[in-house]
Amino acid sequence: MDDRILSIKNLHVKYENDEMTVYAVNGIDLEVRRGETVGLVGETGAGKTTTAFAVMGLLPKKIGSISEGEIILGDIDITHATEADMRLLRGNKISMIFQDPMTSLNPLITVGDQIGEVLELHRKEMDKEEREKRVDALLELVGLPAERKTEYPHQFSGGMKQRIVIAMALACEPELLIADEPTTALDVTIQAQVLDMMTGLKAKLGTAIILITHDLGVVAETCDKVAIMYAGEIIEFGSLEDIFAGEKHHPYTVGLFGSIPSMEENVQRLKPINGLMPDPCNLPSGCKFHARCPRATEKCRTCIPEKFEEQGHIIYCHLFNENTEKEV
Amino acid sequence: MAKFVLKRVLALIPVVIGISFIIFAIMNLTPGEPARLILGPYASQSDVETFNQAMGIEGNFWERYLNYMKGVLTGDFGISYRTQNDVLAELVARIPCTLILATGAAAIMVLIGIPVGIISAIKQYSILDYSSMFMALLFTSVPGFWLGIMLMLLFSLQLEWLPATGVESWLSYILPCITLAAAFVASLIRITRSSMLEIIRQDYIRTAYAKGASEKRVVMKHVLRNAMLPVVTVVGINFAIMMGGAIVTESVFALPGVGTLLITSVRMKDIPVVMAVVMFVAVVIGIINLLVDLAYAYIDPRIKSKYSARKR
Amino acid sequence: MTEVGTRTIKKRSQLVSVWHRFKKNKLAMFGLVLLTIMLLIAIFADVLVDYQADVVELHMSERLQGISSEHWLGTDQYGRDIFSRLIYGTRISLFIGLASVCISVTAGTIIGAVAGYYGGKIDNVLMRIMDMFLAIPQMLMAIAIVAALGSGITNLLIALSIAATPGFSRIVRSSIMSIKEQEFVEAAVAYGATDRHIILKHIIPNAIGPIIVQATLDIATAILTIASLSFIGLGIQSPTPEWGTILSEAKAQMRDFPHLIVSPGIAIILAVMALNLIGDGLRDALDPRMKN
Repeated sequence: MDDRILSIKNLHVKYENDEMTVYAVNGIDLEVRRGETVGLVGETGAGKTTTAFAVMGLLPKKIGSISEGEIILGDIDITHATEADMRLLRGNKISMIFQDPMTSLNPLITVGDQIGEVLELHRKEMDKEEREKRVDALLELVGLPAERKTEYPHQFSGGMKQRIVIAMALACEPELLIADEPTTALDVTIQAQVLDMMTGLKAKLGTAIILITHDLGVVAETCDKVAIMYAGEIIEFGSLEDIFAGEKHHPYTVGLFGSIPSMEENVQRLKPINGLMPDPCNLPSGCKFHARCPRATEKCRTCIPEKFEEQGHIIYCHLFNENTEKEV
Repeated sequence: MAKFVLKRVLALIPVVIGISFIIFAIMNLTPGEPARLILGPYASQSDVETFNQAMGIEGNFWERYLNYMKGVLTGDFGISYRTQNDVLAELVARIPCTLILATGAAAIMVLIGIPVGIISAIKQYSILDYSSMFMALLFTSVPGFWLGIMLMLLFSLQLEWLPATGVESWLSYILPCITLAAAFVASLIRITRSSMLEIIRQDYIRTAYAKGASEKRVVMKHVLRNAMLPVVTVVGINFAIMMGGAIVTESVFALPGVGTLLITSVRMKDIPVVMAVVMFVAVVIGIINLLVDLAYAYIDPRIKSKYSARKR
Repeated sequence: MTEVGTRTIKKRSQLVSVWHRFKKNKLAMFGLVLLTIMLLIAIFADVLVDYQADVVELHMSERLQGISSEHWLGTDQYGRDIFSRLIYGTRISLFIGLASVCISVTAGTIIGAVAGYYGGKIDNVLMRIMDMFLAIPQMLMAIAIVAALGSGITNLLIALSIAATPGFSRIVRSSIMSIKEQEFVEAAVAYGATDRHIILKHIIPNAIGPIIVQATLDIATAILTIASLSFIGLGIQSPTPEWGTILSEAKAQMRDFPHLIVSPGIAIILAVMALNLIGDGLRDALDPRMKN
């Protein structure tokens, strides 16, 4: 049996208004298999969250749209699914955790009712009593006492709120959980707790996770596979080992790491990446990274790099297509 | 909670005293003697003195103010210079009319303003939205008394469906209520719309969509209640102003309400009546504001816990 | 030197971008055009019509005429040309509206700035007094003052200004309280600027946005209040051609000559609507975040 839960093929997303068009995601391919954690890494504005919203079908109405490509979840292409179909998936087969737990919960509804709402929507066969029991179990699953379900969000700390959001996301045991920087807004000590809990729950429930982050430490701790995004493209993809210990890298990845731990010891720490992300309204030709790339050539300015693949480790860079022998 | 209410009621006292002082000063320190205004320009000096004595207008400004306030404390608001009747009785007789008018107008305002504002926000940038925003703009710009006259022209004089002025039956209240509501419905539409739009942008609304809730459910369950907080405030403020400031509407339709009582009294410098009306209005507004705050606590658990925390 | 240079450039570009956003708002531009026309009418009212002959002099032989080429909007019960009276009324309404708002903005800004900047006891005392004024509706306050002072343009102006000042002081105070906490003010305090310097150079320029918006909307309110007061006989008295006064006189004839009622009402609506459109447009242009 195919264990692919999600496959994204050549996805393009743009935001349009009267004044401009923002090309947020420009042709990405990504696969997520049952039970694995895929890290989506990149700077702010790289298109990580947009990708997540596209998968959830939550792109801002009227402004955001998928202009090309497909997103196949299970056996349906959700780019063509109706809103009603999407509603059945959201919160059920796929769910999402947002960046800021402080603002992700409705301040006027008890946390128990907010968790219960997911069940109310997707587990219609449950009666009220069963639902309450399930809410209790979910709260305990994320390490909160079940009695607190009658309290309101303002009575919880940030870390606890994120636990509640996670409980909500896991209520229907989804196949895929998208976590958009779930720990960025939390204290460092709480971050570790929440990440440990997520890893533990993944093992317990077999849920696949897409973890969006810009924190490589978080990636190293939790992910099986890593996709590096830049200007709406995945410029490098591989297993955790490929990215952290591999020999070949996209220059951007090299820059992102500052210095890669596995490189020869005498190599000096690299300088931070110069310059800014290209304007997503007016993307450059060729490789989108060429303006900031220390190794850019004339070719990089004009030609879009081909895919380079080596045992599942994918890099989009002319360095490897031209001369694969060349050392990075 | 009870302590909070008590505290708020007590806080009203200095406000009412301050208001009474401001109005007393305005009425007494400006030119124009009440006796002259009421007895007419040809009254003799001795008539004026007799009048002043009968009405208890004696001593300097401070003595008069303290005397007046002493009376108020014992529930004696004095007698009207103009009609010689008990002020409190005159005021109480006028309250039902104003109350009916304000309640009717508030009902129209809420029944139109809130739904229109909600639809306008949900269908932002649609024809519906544009037309309701235009309606709001028009209503803020139309002077209430002019609208009143136009309605009177159409429904009373041309069609002869409704009485023009005075109070004959409940039908007499229809046009005044519409007139009064028109000026306030605009602000309610606007605040409802902008509050809804503000809430729709919140992260927890996205969370609700991510749960798989339909737009209808998200709006009904998550957006509405959160958006109601500023709406409740505006409804309260508007109702308070209607209770104290329906002066123009009452005057256009010649209704025997608090507003018309104020106008006649203010013209004649019937100071006891003016004072009583103004203090009545200040108290009503204070109470309505308190009710709004209590409604807040009912809607929002964050505010409720703040009040209870204060209690502890 | 460079610091001063960048500051002015930044300021100007901010103004330019506000104007650019305002210009895109068709309704606001419509309001601006409408108001400009009305202002021109107000300024050149005596060029357009002869005050003595057309506005106040009685022509009993021409009373209560309908619409004609000579009297575009007819004549009132004293034979005065309604159109000429409305033209002059523009001057009165706009002048009193503008003047009263100027006074209350100045007074409110001073009170609010002092209260908000110094805080503590001064703030407490000033704001408690303002709260007392705010405890009764603006209209009621204006009526009490104008009734006590007697009717007439000056008294009306005083009444409107006093009634609107407390509201302004509240707005100014709250925007100052929030600006005060911001870093550039703390920085100014740190380099030893005087209070006066900080209030005038840093706080007021930054609080000016909400003040201008509120002022624009308040002129509209003032025009409505002037008309209302005159209509109930407490504002400007005939023969001065104030719009509310004209309406009040027309009301007596409404049974037989309803057309007399329509035109003064439309004049008021146009003026108030123009100001509301401009105020809303300014609000959106100053704070683009609020749109959508």
